[in-house]
Amino acid sequence: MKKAILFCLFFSLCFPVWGAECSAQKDPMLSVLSSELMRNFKTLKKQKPPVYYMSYQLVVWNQVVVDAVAGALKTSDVSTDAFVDIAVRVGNMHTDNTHELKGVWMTYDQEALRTALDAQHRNALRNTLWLGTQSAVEQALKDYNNVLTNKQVSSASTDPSDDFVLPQKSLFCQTQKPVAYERKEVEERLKTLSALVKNYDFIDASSFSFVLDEKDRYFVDSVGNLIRTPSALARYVMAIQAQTPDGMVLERNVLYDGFTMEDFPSLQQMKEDFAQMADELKQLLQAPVAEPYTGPVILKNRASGVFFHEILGHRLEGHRQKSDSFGQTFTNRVGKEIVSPVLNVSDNPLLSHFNGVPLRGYYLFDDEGNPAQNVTLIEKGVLKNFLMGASPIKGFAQSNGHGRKSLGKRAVARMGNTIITPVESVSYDELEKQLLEQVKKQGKPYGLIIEDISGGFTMTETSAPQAFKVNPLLVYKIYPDGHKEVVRGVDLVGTPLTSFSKITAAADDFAVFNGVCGAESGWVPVSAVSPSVLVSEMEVEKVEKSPTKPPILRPPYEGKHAKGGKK
Amino acid sequence: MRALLFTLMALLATAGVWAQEDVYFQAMADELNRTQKQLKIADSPKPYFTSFWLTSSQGRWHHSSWGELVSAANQEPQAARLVGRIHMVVGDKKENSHGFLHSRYYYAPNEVSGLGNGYDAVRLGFWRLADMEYREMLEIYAQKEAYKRQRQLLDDSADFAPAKQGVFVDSQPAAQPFTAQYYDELVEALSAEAKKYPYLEDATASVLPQQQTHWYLNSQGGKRQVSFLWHLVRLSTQMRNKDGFKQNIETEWFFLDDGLPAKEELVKKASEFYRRASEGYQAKRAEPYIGPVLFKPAAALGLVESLFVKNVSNTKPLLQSEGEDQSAGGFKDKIGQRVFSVGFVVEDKPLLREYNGQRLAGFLPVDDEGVPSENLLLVKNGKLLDLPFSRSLTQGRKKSNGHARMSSRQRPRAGITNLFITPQKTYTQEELEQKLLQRCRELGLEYGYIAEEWPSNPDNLPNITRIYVKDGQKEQVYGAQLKNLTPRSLRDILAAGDDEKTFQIPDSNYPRHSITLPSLLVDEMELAPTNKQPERKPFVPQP
Repeated sequence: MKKAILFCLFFSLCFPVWGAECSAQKDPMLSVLSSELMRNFKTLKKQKPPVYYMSYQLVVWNQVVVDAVAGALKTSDVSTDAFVDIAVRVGNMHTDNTHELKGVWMTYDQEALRTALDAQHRNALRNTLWLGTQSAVEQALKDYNNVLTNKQVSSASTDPSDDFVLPQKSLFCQTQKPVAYERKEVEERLKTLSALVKNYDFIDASSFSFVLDEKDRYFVDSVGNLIRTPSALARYVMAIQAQTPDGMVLERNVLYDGFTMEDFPSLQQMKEDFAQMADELKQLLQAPVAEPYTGPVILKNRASGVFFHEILGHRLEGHRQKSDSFGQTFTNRVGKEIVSPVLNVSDNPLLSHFNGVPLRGYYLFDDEGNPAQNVTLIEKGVLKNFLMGASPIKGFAQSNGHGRKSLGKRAVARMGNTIITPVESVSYDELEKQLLEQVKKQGKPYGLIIEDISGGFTMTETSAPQAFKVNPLLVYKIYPDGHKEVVRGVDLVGTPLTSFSKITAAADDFAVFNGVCGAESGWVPVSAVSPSVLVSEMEVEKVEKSPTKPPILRPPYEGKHAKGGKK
Repeated sequence: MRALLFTLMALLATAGVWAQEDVYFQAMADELNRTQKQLKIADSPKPYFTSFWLTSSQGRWHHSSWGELVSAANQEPQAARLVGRIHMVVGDKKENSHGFLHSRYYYAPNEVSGLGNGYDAVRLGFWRLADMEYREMLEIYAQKEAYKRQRQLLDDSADFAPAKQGVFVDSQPAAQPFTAQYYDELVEALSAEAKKYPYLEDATASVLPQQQTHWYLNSQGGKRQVSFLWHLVRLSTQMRNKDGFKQNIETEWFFLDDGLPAKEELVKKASEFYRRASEGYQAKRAEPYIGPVLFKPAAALGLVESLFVKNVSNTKPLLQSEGEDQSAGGFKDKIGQRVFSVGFVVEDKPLLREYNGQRLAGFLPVDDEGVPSENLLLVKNGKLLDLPFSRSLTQGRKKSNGHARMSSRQRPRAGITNLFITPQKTYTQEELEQKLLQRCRELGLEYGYIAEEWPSNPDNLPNITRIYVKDGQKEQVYGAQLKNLTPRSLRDILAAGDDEKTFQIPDSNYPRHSITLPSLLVDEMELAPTNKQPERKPFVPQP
């Protein structure tokens, strides 16, 4: 009951703001986009083969980039640009120019052009839209011809679902005040933080940056959608790197995400975080190299979030179930248990914060004009649903608002905020106890705690083994007597079906991992929320080492090694 | 005279000091000192010579389309961007790593961009660069030694000869006279001119104002600091002519320091560009042609870059682990031979700071190996008299003449700085056209050609003008390509115009330089029509 209340509190932090219904008359930018789209569509839908659907997505992008090194500024830029993406579909919903070509490398690129910043500059904007549409249609016609030929000479697809489902019509306009920030304050903060590196002569490289991306996104299409959704994502990053004498490159980083400047911690807190990060890096430098191992492992909360995102999340993206070139690990397993029954997994782009922490995967409408939906993917270990964009698959005919992309790419199904919730949870201390019980039961000398993960990859194509590898940044050995020891140089490897079935327990220590995820439709901001989980058996292998030695001389910080200082 | 010049330069070096210059030079000097003294792997040779470059750039693009802004510049000043570059020679003056191309590497310098604007940050950047460069040079040194042993090379000319070093410090940063708003309004005015002319499907204008300062320091005492304010103006348009042949037409103009013309003048030039592009709608398709071509200065620039500059640069071929050095200048063995039309003088003047009141991009009192530069008389009466040299010498050559040039694509090699092509006799435009027609008559040709610009890209051909012998009538021609271009064309120059023009060329594949030249009438050129096919007309009319 206590846990249930806690979760209600977490989820009640969904963004309460909802925009007003809008019309082309009220928003001048939507008006220009919509009128030019309809002017083009009127003619293009009569062509043979016809353009049966088209959309324009215009993004006005304000960006602030500040970064510093060794107490000095490297970059401090503010810029404003506008880009328009043009999506055109030729043929019909069953078979169009985006249909998968068999045996041919598919590109997900689409027309993206720099354009006018606002609707006052309507001549430049309209001309860009006209030129871009012409070019997009020419490409779509070529692609459609290729599709028809490829279909004639290739074997039938396993899933004959349509290529596209039209979005439902939405009229939605939201506006947002620009993020209030003091550039000088940001610059000074980064200079102060980056100067701290000079006290640590084992740090070979470092990065201290701030990026603020404010995007005002306008979407119109031939269905009549008129959508305006602004967003603001800000991020501070502190990252440090060192190299061991045997050539292994080690790194630690801390990321802070926010929608406003109020979301960020104080400078003092960041200094303390830096000190801890530097201390961890020093421990790693002195740590022994881990040996290959199979046995029980705890994935700490943030690390677990990355693990679920990389290994499970990508395999639940709808379009991968339809394509014969993907491994389709879970395609025919709806209603069946695919992970341990102790877990529920959902993806909820409508959630803006979790326990007060901003979530980067928050959005109201996806990049295909569909409203975002909270989707229950797995319930008590049983697969219920997929992440769906506008490409239907067998049994799932509609989008659930997960069609996402970056500039110049075609949208496919992607994650937003992936939430892992245990059916039952224990305290983290209890989870460690359970780990040690597993260690004893399996007769292992120690267990592993994966504290942090930088990222990883999973192979989903049929041409490759359905395996994964993730790269831990900080790993502890925990011995039966409870004492811990840092180790370095391990990667987690395995296959998803086996690994997920071996999760035996989860804690109640939820944490957020905010990141940027890259796939065929480009880079999109995402989040994963997860507690720590205990996996009864995982495999770790040694990491690949850099072939180079560490730098011959030590970094030349004033007063420290200015006159010399060999390692 | 030169001694006086360098005394003056040394005085300049200690005069008006810009605070940041002290910090950067100090950081470079301290790290250079540490590199030379301490950077060493046991049983391997030490650095013999190390040079550091630091370039600070500040500026951003302003874009417009059809008279309306498409990106907004920051109204607040942004931090200057610093790029560090290194060139190191390991070994000694006799046996060293210089002048050898290892198949694993390009002959490009190691570079780090985004150095911080401070003492520690600059040192940090050069520390990392020096470490990377030293390891690479050790590998190259070993490969070069093995190569020389294997080939039993007899050429004992120095790969990196000792040379007197020079100092030139102009610590005055280039002033930025305009605001971001000025540039925004300028680009809007430029592309707005396109609205006056029919058939253009797109029209954009961009301006990049960029303040640059370069610091150079080497381990043998060479030192240099210079600053520039560059303005790059780029116009582009798209036009589908009456035959459906789509052309993307672009032009770029570079201006140095206060050389940016007034807004009204630039607008007039832009108008002329769009007018000519629009008139291309009626252009006739090119046909095969062999005969005389009159190159206007902007087109003659391309001809001279391709046929002369390339051939007098990189005078000593690199030793290569595989193949032959294709970048070595073809005139390296042609001293005393005729390479240019009689009646022309060609000079390279690195010591000339200004010409006709214009700052010259190739002003280089100290070259990229720290050597004081010398003005060179390269060609007289068509004969090649001298060549630019770096510290990499060919047999019989005693010393560098201070023409080592380095770019982001190439380590220091011999190159030009401020090139002057000066004809002994000049003609007015009218006279040149008459000469062109006269030559066509002699050859029994129906028409000749006048080229305004050099084709920078085969898919991006500028329209050229056909001029008829019978009545002097002119018409634009599209889709022509220059074929079988050889240095022979330089000897075939029949006449030159009185319209001498100076072009400033910023760092790109070749280091920044300037070329001053007039229109050139070349006796025999080969033009051929492109194989590109027409494209379909737009599905929907232009809005």
